[in-house]
Amino acid sequence: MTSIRIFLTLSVSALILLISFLSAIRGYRESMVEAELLFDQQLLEHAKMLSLLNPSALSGGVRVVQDLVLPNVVNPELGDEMQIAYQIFTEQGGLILRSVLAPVTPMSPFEVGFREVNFSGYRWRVLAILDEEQSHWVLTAQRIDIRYDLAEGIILDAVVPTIITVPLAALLIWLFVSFGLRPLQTLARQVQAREASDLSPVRLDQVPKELTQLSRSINDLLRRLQDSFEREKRFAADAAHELRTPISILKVQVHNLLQELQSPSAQASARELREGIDAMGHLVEQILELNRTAPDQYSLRFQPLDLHALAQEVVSQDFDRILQRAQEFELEGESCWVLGDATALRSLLHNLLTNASKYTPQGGRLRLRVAPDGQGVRCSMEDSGPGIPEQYRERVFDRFYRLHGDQHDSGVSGSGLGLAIVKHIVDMHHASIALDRSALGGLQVLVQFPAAAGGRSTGLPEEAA
Amino acid sequence: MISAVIIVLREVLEGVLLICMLMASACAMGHRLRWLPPALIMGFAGALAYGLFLEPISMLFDGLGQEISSAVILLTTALALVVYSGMLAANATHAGSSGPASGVLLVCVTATTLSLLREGAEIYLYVYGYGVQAGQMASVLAGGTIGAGIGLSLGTFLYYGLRALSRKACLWASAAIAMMTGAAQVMQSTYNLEQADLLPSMQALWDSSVLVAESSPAGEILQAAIGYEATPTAVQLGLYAASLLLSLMAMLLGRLYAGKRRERKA
Repeated sequence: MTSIRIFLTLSVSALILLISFLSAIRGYRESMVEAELLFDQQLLEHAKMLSLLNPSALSGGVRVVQDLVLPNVVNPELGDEMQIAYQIFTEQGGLILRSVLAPVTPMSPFEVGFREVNFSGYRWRVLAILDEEQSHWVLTAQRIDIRYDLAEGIILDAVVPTIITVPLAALLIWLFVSFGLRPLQTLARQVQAREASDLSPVRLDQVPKELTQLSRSINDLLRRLQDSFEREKRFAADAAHELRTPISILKVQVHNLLQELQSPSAQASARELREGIDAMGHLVEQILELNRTAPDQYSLRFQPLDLHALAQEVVSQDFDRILQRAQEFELEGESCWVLGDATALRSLLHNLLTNASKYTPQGGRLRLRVAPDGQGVRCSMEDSGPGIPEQYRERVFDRFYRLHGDQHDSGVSGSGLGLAIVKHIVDMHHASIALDRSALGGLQVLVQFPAAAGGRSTGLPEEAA
Repeated sequence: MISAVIIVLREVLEGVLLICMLMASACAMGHRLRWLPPALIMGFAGALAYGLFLEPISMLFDGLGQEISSAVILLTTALALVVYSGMLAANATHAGSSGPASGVLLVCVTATTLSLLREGAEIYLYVYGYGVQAGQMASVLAGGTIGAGIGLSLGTFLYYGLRALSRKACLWASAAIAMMTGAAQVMQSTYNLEQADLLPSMQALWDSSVLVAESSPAGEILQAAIGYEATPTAVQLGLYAASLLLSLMAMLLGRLYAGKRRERKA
């Protein structure tokens, strides 16, 4: 069963069709029997009427008279043919009177009752009665084919509407079934149209009894999912606290150790220890960031933002690192607006910038450009580093993927999560990301944001205006 | 009108039983019903062409064209059903053992097209011959519609009834229907072959008209479903039994093949 609607429409229509058609056949058969009785009754009435004549007064040979014609208001074309042939005989079998259609010989044996016989090329229904008072036989007859056609014509008029109404009934069933299934479609639409982060209960007006259990189950499932996500978020916050604190203590202890150690070799070891702790701290921060920016974890607070201004803010925070590496940095572009989440976009720009700086040699060049582009905003981060060969460009968005084991000039190990975080944030903003070769000789990361609401990317967006 | 109901019902029932069984079992084997629309179109077009060109067709083979073409159509359908019953038995034993999907679809399309062609042509000839030429159009159309409606309703119930069964039960029930309708096609082909003098006309072995007359509604339905014949000859009975035996063998082979396939996989 692939469609409830088709199943219900077809099965109910088939049932109605079967019952109504079988009833039509039964009605047809019973009506035909009734019609036969009616015609027989007519033959009897005509025979009785003829017997009221005084045959003894009809002397002087056989008389031939016109056949009796039944008035036919239902089918006038049949009227002329619906004639009753008749004969009157003496009790001894002498023909006194006959109609034109009747033969000179008796149409049936002289036995009281109905009989079916053949004469004049047709099959006839013949009635013979004996008038004992006047001592003569009266025989009346009708053609069976005409009786049948007439009866069927009348009965078909009653049967045909039944046949015609069945498709109409099927159409109405289809409409009613569709109407009845509407709450199910509404429920399906509501569930389908939800954002990944929307776990609020599904609300339906006037839930039918059959759907109450299903909507309760869905809402129960959503509630459990919500609880589970909440627990995940709490875990992330707790883990952040629990991991950051010992790392900070370790950092302080290493700092003190460095101060206290006299031997140069011991100091070198302690410095390595400090670098290891720094790398671990960075890794913990990145894992937490990745977790926070996962689409199913992140609670979006979208608002119109000037991406260029945001880039200036991020650059000012990270400028020390660039200076330390004696790198040349340019920020280009102009004020341009996107609809986005400020925290997430700061993280995106920060990751792009630190990635570029980290993988670019000392004294290299970096260029960040944020500018309107067509209907959207284009953010491009370029560097003069080694770049990424084309065959690895898809894989670098995978978590913990590090190109060539992450050997680069900076000597600082990466976590392999920076671009994975960037990709999360790009997806969350329905933007696109592409890697290319930069004019500076290294890598160019291009992020294309869609237009902010109102289709404008420059100046103030409509919401902010 | 009643005669039109019975004649059309018998023809429609023959086709509908077969097609609904094919539809339900193909779905149970995991195939979609994409094969159905082209088969229906080819079947109806073929029926119309057969009805329109009946006269030249009849003139073939020294005036035996109609009998021989009918027998060929019936026997081809029966052969397709024998193969199909084997496929169904294989799939019922071990899912996915019914051979390539194109084979299943080819059998479905062949059986549907040929069945529709023959039944459609017979209905067309009846409606045209009795309705148009004998001036009984109203009663033939009314009776024909009622007969077709009842046949389609029963087909709908058969389809959903088979679909309501478990996959295995649906496939075995379909195999049984394929076997019986295949034998019915063979039985009908024997009339045509006897008329064409390709089979000897023999004395009937018995006469069960007293129990169920062929012309009664029950007789017509039994004839459509299982090829009921009140006065069968030895040749007819032998061919009927051979057809049943062939289907049973195909089912057995299908079952054996699927069993081995399952063992290999295990």
